[in-house]
Amino acid sequence: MDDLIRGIIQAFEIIFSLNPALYEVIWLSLSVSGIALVFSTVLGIPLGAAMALTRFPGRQLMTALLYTGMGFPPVVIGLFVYLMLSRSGPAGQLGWLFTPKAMIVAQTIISFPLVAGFTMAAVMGVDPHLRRQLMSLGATPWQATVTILLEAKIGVIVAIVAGFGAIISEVGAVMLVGGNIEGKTRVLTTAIVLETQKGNFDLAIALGLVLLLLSFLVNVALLRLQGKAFS
Amino acid sequence: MSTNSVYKLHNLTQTYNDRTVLNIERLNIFAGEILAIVGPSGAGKSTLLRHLNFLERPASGSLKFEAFHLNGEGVPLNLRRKITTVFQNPVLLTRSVADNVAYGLKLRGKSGDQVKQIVDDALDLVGLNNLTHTGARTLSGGEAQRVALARALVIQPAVLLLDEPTANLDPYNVKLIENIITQVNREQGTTIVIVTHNIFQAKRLAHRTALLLEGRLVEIAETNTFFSNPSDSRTKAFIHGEMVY
Amino acid sequence: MLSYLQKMVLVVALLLLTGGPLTSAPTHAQSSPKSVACEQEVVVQADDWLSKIAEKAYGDVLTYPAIAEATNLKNAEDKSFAQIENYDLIEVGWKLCLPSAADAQTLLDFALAAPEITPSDSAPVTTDVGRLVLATTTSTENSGLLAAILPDFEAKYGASVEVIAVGTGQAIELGENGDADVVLVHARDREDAFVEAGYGVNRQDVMYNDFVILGPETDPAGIKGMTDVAAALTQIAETNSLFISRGDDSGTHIKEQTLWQATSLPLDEVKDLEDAKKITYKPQGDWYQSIGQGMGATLTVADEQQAYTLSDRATYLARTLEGIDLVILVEGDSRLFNPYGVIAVNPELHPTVNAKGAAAFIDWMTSLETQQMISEFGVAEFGQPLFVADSVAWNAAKQ
Ligand SMILES: Nc1ncnc2c1ncn2[C@@H]1O[C@H](COP(=O)(O)OP(=O)(O)O)[C@@H](O)[C@H]1O
Ligand SMILES: [Mg+2]
Repeated sequence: MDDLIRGIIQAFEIIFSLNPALYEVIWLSLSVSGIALVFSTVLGIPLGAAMALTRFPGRQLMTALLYTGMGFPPVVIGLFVYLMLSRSGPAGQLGWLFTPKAMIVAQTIISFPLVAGFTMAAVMGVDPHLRRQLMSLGATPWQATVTILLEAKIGVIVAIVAGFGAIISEVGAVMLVGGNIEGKTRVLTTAIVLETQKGNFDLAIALGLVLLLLSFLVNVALLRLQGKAFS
Repeated sequence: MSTNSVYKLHNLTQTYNDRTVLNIERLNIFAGEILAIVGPSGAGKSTLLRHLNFLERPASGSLKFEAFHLNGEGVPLNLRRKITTVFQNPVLLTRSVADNVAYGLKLRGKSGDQVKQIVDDALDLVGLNNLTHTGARTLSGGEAQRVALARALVIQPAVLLLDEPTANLDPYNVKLIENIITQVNREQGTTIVIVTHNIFQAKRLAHRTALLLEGRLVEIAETNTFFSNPSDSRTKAFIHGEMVY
Repeated sequence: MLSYLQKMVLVVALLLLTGGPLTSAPTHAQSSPKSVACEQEVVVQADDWLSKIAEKAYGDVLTYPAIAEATNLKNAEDKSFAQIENYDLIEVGWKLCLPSAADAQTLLDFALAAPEITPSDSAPVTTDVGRLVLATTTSTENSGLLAAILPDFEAKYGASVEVIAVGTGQAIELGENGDADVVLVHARDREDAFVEAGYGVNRQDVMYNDFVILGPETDPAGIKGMTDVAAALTQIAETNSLFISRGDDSGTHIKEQTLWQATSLPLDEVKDLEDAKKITYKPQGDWYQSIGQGMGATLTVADEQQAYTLSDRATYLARTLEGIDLVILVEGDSRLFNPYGVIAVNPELHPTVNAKGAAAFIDWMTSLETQQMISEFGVAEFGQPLFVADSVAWNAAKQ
């Protein structure tokens, strides 16, 4: 208990100490997860929308795969990316292992099914006759799709929030493929693991608080976007 | 009213799960007319309107709109945009009433004050100017139907397809909508196809009336002739309310 | 009809059960050499280590126990020779006896062989230890040592040991918080501080192993075969060759920092965010990467990047079984030795700890039988022991 209270007090001291190493870790966390989220959003929202709005052969299989992907253990994805990017792996030439690129790849794979799956569910929740209605008002297929996505906005933002939550808090995969290299691939979660292992519980708690605060702020920002859906 | 055909349908069929729900041997719709389509529920009226709006692919047969022959390929956007439908159960967007009405104009690249003026006028016309900023999803069925009509009118379609547009309305608003329909037809020359259950409405509005039964066109005639001197016994039964459905 | 062999087995078993004379008879077949001839006499100079002298004399650091044995034997006849109790501790001015290479081999065989085991040693002190939480460094767990020896403790003492394998820092912190009953770590300064602060009691030497500098076979820094670890590290730095540091405040990481400090390279001093007195030293440059992970992960990263790293021999050897391209490039420098200590968590500070279990564990860990197991661990697999037994009882029994 003492540890926790002392940790929380010290956590704030550390946060306001403007220590460059700490901000480097925070920045890397945000940028790696942010870029991964952009990729998984750019891939996931169209896929989710397409799967909700169109019928094509193999759609059922795709849906099953997507749902499996949503529940896939991130560390297994990390292992997969590791084996791909390893010196002896098929993509070893890239030299991406233990760089932020590898972490972005892993996080994209982790969050992409979440974004796509939740988007699909959200779009499927929109009135099925809406598309016909929009086409009748003169929408192009693309305009209709965009309008439907906007109608599903709340659900689509939940999809993005879920994707972000999954990767900003993920530790196993980034540890495996990033290697937790100080100043290069060390992010908040791996730093927390490290400080805990070093017995620096105060610092670990501080980092944990920063992580909580960050996800909170990002979620508030996303939800503000969502709020506009009602205006 | 001219006798130029905007639509020419020939042997047009629609099947759902191997069941033929529509089979129109021949139907011409004239430019500038108001055509009423009556028939019991399940007759295929709504399905026919969807074909007229290019929202379904016929199983067989041909459909010609103006100079355009429907084929396997897409319908040019500029042609599609000449036609719009007010559906039996209109779907409104989760936005304000004004935004819903403006939607078709925005799709066509219009914006600004011009749009605002058109929208306000349209809402005035359907008697909903007090609801401009209300969320459209909170409206009653009748209000929603009027918003849907306003939304269709602002784009000034050449062809307006109405699927039971007054089904949810009180007598005052039925009269209001019927007035709008005749006015639009008269002032803008809009071709109107109105599906209705209500033979009196057909009588009041339409230049011609058609009876659809089990997907087939039983009779189509000048409205007066249709009601006073129908040639088919089933039409007679229908207009005398003897039709069992 | 029982065969002759079966009868013999029965007889032996009966004798054992009745505590007959056989069990108290010396089981130690090999007789120790009674005297030894000194081929060379050496007086200890400043900075001398037994292993350093051994390296000079025999070209093999691991022969140093022979020098100690020979000197101790000589001490019996001639008091001008030193009496060496702790192999890690020799003092300037001591006279040492260096036997011939052949004698050294004999002495070495003796030193590594089992000291005499008396029955009282193997008798369980207590049989109801119960759940015991052992906080230890990853090396003891990763090397497989604990898995090999703990079942013996559990069987003898009715214990169930929960091993928490973490960095030395965290292991000690677990002890400080009373989350562990006993700690087994290798960072002498930290251990002493832990005991001094009153967190731990009854610290005992257990064993030691050594560190090695690993690197790719291509050896871009050209350090292969160097015996001066500081010079080797300097060369790695000067050639900007990638070096992976554990950076996890573990015993290995602490050792690595002292090695960098032994070079004359400029080092960054990073103050701990929590504890300004705690400073991490690291060389400057992108070629030095600190990954903050355990030995296993560090080996993986270094292997993958074809980089240099510092590893304890045990974990490295264990990993060679699973295929690793890194090879040992520098070894044997006395600064690479790594002693392990076992410490009980102070029950006065944390009344809930299993003090009886911790005491039993320390007794067992330092007992001759366990020390013998430690000495033998890894020989079958790697052709060399991974750890060298080093408890007081063991060292005394060998003399
Ligand atoms: N999407 C569809 N799938 C299967 N059957 C349909 C579908 N749409 C309409 N139908 C069927 O086609 C027939 C005609 O329907 P509809 O055109 O809606 O009739 P009406 O509008 O005249 O009441 C009905 O039997 C209806 O059940
Ligand atoms: Mg209908």
